[in-house]
Amino acid sequence: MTEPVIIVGSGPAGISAAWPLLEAGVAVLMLDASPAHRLPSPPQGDITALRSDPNRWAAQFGADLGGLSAMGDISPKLTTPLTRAALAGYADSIGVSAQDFLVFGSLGAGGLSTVWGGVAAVYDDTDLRGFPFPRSELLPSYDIVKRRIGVSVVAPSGGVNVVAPSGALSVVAPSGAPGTVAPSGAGATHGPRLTPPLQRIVDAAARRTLPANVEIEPATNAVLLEDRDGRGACVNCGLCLWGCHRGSIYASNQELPALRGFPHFTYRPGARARRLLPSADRPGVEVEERGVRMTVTGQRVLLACGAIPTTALVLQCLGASAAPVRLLTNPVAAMAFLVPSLVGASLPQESFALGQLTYRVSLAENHRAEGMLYGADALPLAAVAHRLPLSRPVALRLSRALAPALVLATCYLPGSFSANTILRDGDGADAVLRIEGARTAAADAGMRAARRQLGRALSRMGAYPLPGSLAFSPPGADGHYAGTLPMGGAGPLGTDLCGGLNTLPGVHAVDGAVLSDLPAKHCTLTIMANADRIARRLVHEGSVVAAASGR
Amino acid sequence: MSEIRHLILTGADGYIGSRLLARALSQGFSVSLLSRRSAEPQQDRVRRLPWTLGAKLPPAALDPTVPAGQQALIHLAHDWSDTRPGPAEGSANFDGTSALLQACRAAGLGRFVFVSSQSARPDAANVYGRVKWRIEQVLAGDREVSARVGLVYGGPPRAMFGLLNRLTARLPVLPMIDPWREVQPIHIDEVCEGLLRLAAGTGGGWCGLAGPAGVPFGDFLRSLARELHGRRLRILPIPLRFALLACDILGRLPFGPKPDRERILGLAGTRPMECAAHLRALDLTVAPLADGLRREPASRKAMLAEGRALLAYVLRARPGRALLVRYVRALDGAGPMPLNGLLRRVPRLLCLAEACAAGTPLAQRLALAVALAEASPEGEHALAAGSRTTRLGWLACDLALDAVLLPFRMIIARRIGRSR
Repeated sequence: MTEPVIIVGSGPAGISAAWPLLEAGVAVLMLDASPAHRLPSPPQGDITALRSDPNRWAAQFGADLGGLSAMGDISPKLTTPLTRAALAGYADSIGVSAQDFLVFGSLGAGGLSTVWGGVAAVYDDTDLRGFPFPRSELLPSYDIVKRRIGVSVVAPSGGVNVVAPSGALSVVAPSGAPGTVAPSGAGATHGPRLTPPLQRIVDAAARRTLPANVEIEPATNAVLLEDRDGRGACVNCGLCLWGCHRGSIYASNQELPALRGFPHFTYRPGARARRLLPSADRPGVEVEERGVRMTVTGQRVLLACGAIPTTALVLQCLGASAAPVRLLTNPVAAMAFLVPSLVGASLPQESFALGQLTYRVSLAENHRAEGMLYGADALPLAAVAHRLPLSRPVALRLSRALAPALVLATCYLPGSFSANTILRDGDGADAVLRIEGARTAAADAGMRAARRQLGRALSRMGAYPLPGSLAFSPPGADGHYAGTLPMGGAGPLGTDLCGGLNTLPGVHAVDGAVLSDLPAKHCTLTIMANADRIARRLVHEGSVVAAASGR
Repeated sequence: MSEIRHLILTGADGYIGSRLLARALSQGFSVSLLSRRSAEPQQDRVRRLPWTLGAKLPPAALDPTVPAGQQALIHLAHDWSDTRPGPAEGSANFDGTSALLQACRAAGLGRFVFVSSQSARPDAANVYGRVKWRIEQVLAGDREVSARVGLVYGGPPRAMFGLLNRLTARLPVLPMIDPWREVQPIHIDEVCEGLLRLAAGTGGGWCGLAGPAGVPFGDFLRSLARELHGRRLRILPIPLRFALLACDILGRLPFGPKPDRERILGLAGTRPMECAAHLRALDLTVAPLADGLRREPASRKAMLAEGRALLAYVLRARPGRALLVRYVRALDGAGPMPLNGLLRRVPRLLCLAEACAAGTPLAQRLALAVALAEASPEGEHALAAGSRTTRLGWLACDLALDAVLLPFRMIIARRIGRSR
């Protein structure tokens, strides 16, 4: 019997690498560290029902009220029961000691994608200029992945949703009418819609021209427009923050049942990769399963457990690293804008709490800042009230008045503005992965410039920046960890075009670790497309062989 | 030693005794109570026998179905009227206890536990401490043990705890002697458990039942005020002589608290008692004072009162019971914070007390109240009520008032900043 390809991790990268291999008849063994605990169920119904639900507190803070102690300056998403359960104990369990750096991750099936914000961004030529292959090599994989996971564009209020355009970056007129049509020609009658303040921006953009260095367009999200594979279409219930009870937002564990339909797919939950065993012909992994260590071998080992754990496994295999390794993240800040005409309006009956518009700002020296625009009507008001320097009852009431009129923006800078390092300290069981977070001196100035330009553009469209609302998040808060084992890189930590480690034969990294660069964009879709590309290339080159053909 | 199955308790109607009785019964002991009170309706496994300090041990106190070696006596009774100075011999407490001890020896009881005090010393400032010490001297062998109990708190507000509880609940300023003198507080349930373990154990001499770490008496009182009543207490140090004079004057008045001269002298003469090894030997954990106080129903009541004030301030309406309970739960064992009585009665005045500075306990708890209030039906009702014009109109008034109050709040914030 032909040995399988071992995939470590069931996150978006692992699942995306598994599909082309299985479809080509290659046996796959997926090792997943997922613990036995179940994640809490997201609230049912919609945001309007939740607001007056006597048990809203449990949905918002968890039955243990633990979300309350997590409140503060962090994103409200991190305080929800689902996110807290998914992320609990991650840094400790992977042996990371972080300084000035937030480490997010989940050992659960599906990894971090179970709490994904759903932004499905496609890298353009500029974004890919640091990559060692042409964009044309990645485009087919983008298409395949987008079709597989279901991707849609946020529609104008009263408009028609369309499936995200395939291939090229969606081209959308400032009026907000997507420049593509739905495959059926009719589009979906419901699906993610712009909420009123974002709709105002889009309406104004139809009448006024944007500054030349700012582009705004409806966001593309991994959100379903029609029921499919046990997942329901998005109905604008507004509960995105607490986890989508309909499964409209993609999470990679949703695909596990389909993968298990392949007879040559083996899924081993609770099997944690502890050590790599590189070898040119029979590479393997030492696995810990229910406290017992064993060795599994295969044709190849594909590391897809997230950039930080993947890097940890590689550094462990190479021995204690003498010099710190670069870890790319996107420096991120949040800012708020106000559409005055909506202040005090009733909260909308339906809502969509993921990114609604995406924007791009050109900065000096060919850099770009990018980000998403969100509504605030479905957010807990306490998070907004917390920032208002008023007495608490007034802050709460003002937050409620502002909520339907607020536009919240995230702003990302390219990974080159981050200055994080990762270092394996010590050896054996006592080894610790030390991460130190920092951003470059230029990051603050870049972020302020981006805010200035975005503020100028949005002001023209009736959304005015709120003074003092620019808030930097600590390094790592974006969760976009990348670039530790760059494709095309030299030295022991470099990888080839297939993520194959230069000095560890038979071992490939297929997750964020191998991104050669980190543009100011959400990288999840690119990580998935790249994993798909690598797997296809391995099949195409004959580096892995199908079970039926033997060796 | 054989296992103790039957207990004989003296002083079981007192502060510690009544709690000890309940605990002993819950642990499966049968109990004979030697009591001045007349017989009450009999409880299962309890026999009440008339007895006063100095009287003979009633033969019926022993359980005829249990060998005498499996029976123990815990002697808590103390005659507080016996305060004459001079040698202990001849006093009601010394003679009565000696007679009881002799009777127990004669009956062949398995264990005699004498409840003594941290103040037991030959040169104790009060008669109580000297008598307790003198009685300890007649205990002998490893079947007779003395429990030197520290400052007991918790449970029903009786005895010394009752007095201190009342004082800290009412007085804004408490005059007291030597507030820096360390006491060793122990919760009443820990004392009872310790006594039962001593009764079931072996070994003679004395055993300290007290908090292993000393707490300044002033801090103890402040903790009582904060944890049980949500109040801030100020201590006014006064000379001992003045305290004794005040005690005499209060004793002659027909109203007001009646501090006991003996107890004041007992506190004034308290000395540190090393008891960590004793506690370890008994496998008894004494919780830190704050934790012990937070287990008290009074602490929960104070938390509910605090929650009612803060939530009413945020909501501008009466919070429901479920929301209040959630507020207390969310604080997860943290005690109440000091909150002025006026603010509790008129929560709207919190707009003055609410300092601009973040990070104060009030600011943190108000942030909690805001989050919980928003996520409640009451909150949704308060925030969504009225038309858009009405809501915006009230909001404009609120903002104007906030602007007017801002200077006051900043002054208060600065004062709080200075005092922190």
